[in-house]
Amino acid sequence: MSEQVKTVGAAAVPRRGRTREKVVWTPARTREALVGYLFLLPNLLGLLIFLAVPLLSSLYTSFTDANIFPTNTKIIGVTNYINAVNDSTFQQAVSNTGAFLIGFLPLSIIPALALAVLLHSQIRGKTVFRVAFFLPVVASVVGVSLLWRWLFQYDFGPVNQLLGLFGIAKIHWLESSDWAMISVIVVASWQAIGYNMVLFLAGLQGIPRQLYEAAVVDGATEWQQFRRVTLPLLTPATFFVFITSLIKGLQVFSEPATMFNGGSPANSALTVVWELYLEGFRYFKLGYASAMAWLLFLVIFVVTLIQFRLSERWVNYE
Amino acid sequence: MNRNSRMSALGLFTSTMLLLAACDSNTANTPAAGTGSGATNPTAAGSTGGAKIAIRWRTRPGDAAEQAVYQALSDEAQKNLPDIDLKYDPSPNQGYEDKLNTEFASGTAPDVVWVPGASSASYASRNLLYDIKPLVDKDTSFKLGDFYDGPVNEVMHDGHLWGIPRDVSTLAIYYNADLFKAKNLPTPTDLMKQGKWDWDNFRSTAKALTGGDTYGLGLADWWGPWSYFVYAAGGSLFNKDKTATGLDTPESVAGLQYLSDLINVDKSIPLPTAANVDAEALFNAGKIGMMINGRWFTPGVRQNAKFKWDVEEMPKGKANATWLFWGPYVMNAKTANPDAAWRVIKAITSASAMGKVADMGSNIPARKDQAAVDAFLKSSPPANNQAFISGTKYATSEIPLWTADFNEYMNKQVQPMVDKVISGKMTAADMGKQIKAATDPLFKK
Repeated sequence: MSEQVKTVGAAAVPRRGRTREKVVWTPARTREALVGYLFLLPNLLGLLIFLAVPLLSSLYTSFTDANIFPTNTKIIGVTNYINAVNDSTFQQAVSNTGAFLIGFLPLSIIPALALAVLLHSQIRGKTVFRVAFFLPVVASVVGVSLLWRWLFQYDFGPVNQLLGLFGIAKIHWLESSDWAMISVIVVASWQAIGYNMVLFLAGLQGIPRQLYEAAVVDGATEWQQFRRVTLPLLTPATFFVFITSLIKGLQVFSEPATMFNGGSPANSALTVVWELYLEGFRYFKLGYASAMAWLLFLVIFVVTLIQFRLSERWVNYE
Repeated sequence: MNRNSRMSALGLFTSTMLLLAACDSNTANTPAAGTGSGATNPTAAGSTGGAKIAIRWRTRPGDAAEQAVYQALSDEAQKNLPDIDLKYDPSPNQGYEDKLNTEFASGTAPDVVWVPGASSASYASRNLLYDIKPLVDKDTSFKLGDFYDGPVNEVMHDGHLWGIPRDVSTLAIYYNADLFKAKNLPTPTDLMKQGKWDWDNFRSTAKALTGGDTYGLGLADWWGPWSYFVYAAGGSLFNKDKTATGLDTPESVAGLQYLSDLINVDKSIPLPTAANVDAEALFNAGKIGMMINGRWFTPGVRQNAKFKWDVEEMPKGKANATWLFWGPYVMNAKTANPDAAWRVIKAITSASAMGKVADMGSNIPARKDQAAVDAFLKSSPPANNQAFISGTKYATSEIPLWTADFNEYMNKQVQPMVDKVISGKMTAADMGKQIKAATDPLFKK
C-alpha cells in the first residue's frame, strides 16, 4: 500500500531513508539555481504577501480587541475565543453549518457521481449534457442565489407552482425557519454538482478499459462492474471530491448571505462564515471575527486530518 | 554561459515586470475600488493653472433614475463651484455600509457621503467623521433651523455636529383603492376623516381585505415596519436613557403580539421575507390591500401599479406613532479640504437641490421651510402627500445609538427573536422575558 502511494509523485519526491546526493556548487550550478529562484520569485512573493502575511496578522488580531478602524488596539489574550464558544449566535451558526453539511455532502456528491457515470457511457449528445450540467459552476454564486430567491418565491414562484401540480401545498421556502436552510442546501448542491461531476468524469476516464473487459469475460453484470470495478477505482476521485466538498461546506457563505440579504428568518440559515463576516464588517469586531475564523480553521484542519487517516482504509490507488 | 546569463536576465525581467504590474494595478485599484477616480487622484486640471480641489461624494440611489437625478445635481453644483473638481460616486443599496466601512478602514472613503441616520453615531463614535459645527457656525448664509428638528437633534451630539440631514421619510400606509372599492370597504382615508382610523378598524379592514391570494396588509422584513407596532402600543426599542432594550415592557410586548396575531391568527399578512422586495412586488401586483412603507416606495408604485392608490397616516394604536427615517450627509474626517467639502454639502442640501430630488418622488426634503415642503407636496401621485408630512408631528426619529452598536443590537439579537414572534414560533411575552438578558451585554456600562 505505502509503496503504491509513493509512486504517485515519485519523480518529485526524494525517497526517504536514502542519503541525498551531495551537491557540488559550481558557479554554473549556482547561476542555474539563481535563475530558478528568480522565476519562482513572483509566485513566492505573491504567496508571502497575499497569504502568509494576512494569515499571521489575522492570528495576531484574534488575540486583540481590534475593530476595523485604526484605534488603540489592546491584546486581550484568548478572551475572543472564550466569548465565541459561549456566544449563542455563534453556537447556532455552528449547528446550522453542521445541518448544511448533512444535506449538502450527499446531495452534491451522489447525483454528481450518477451523472458522471451516465455521461461517461456512450450516449448521444453527451457533450451538450456535460456542458449543461457544468454551467451552474460557471455562473456567479450571487446571480444564481438571486435567481433561486425568485424560484422559491411563495406566491408565484415556479417551485411552489410545480409542487402545486402534484397537489403539494405551498412551502415557505425562504420565510420559514424550518425551510430556510433546506433552500440553501438545494441551491448550493445544485451549483456544486457540475464541478464534482467533472472530477468524477476525470476519474472514470482513468480506469483502464481492460478491467471492464475482464469483468465481462468473467460474467459480471453492469451493476457488479460498477460495484466492483468502478467504485473502488474511483475512490481517489471520491476522496478528493469529499474533502473539497467538506471544506467548501464548512465555509459556505455567499449562498445564504445573498438569498437572505437582510438576515435569514430567526438566523436559521446563519452559517459560521456569514456570522464572522457580520461580526467583522457589520459590527466592526475584527478581533472577535478573526478568532471565529481560526476556530473554523481548526475544525477544518482536524476534520481533514481525520479524513486523511480514514482514507487509508477505503481509498485504493491503482 | 551566454545562454545562462540570457536566461537569468529573462528571469529577472519576468519577475520585475510581474512585480511592476502588481504594484501598478495596486495603485490604480485603490481609488478605483470606490468606482471612479479617488480623492487622492486630482484630475488633469494642472496644466491650465492652479490644481482644483478634488471632492468625491456619494449617495445610495435605489435605481438608475435616482442616480441620474443625483448626477444632474452634481453637475449643477459643479458649475457653481469652479475651483472644485466634483465627482459623484454612487454605490448600490446592497452592502452599502460594508463597502463604506472598508473604505473608511483603508482611508479611501469619499469626502462627503450619505449614511442612514441610525448608523451616523457608529461612524462618529469611531472618529471617522469631521465635526462640521465650526464650519456651520461661521457660515452666515446657512441656517440649521431650516431643517426638521428631530434629525438635527439626533445628529448633534455633545456639542458636535456630525452631518446635515438630507432627506426624511415617515412610514405611511399605501393602499390599493380599487381593492377597497371591490370589497366595498371604507378606505383608510375615509376612516381617517371619520376619526376611526384606529387599531380595531385597522385589524378588521385588513381581515376583510384578505381572501384567496390577496392579503390585507404587507410589510417588509426589517425593523422599521414591525417596530411601528411597538411604538403605537406605547412601547419602545430602548429604555428612556437608551442604556438597555425597551422591548421587555408590557407595552412593547402587546404591540408585537398584535402584529403576530395579524399574521398568525388572521392570516392578513404574508410572512415577511428576507427577500424584502416580495411584499412590495405583491402590492404592486395588486395582491395586497395595504402596505406599510416609506416614501422611497413611491417611485416603484408609480411605475408598476396598474390600479388607483393613495397613502394615509399610520393608524392610531394606544398612541399616534410612526418613524421619521432620515439620513445625513457626513464629512470624512480625513478629507483634505474641509472648507471645500462643506461648500459641496451646502450646495447639495440647498432648497433648490432638495426640491429637484423631491420632485422625483423618492425623498421628502429634510428642510421644513415652505419652499421645500411645497416642492414635495406637488410631487404626486399619491394625492395625499400631506400624510407623510402630518406624520412628522408625532414621529419618533430614527435613532443613532451612542450607547451600543445599533446594527449589532438589532441584527444579531433583536431581529432573530422578533422573527420567531412574527412567524408564531414564540409568543411576544416569551420574547419580552428573554430579550433583556440577550441584549444587555451589548450596551456600554
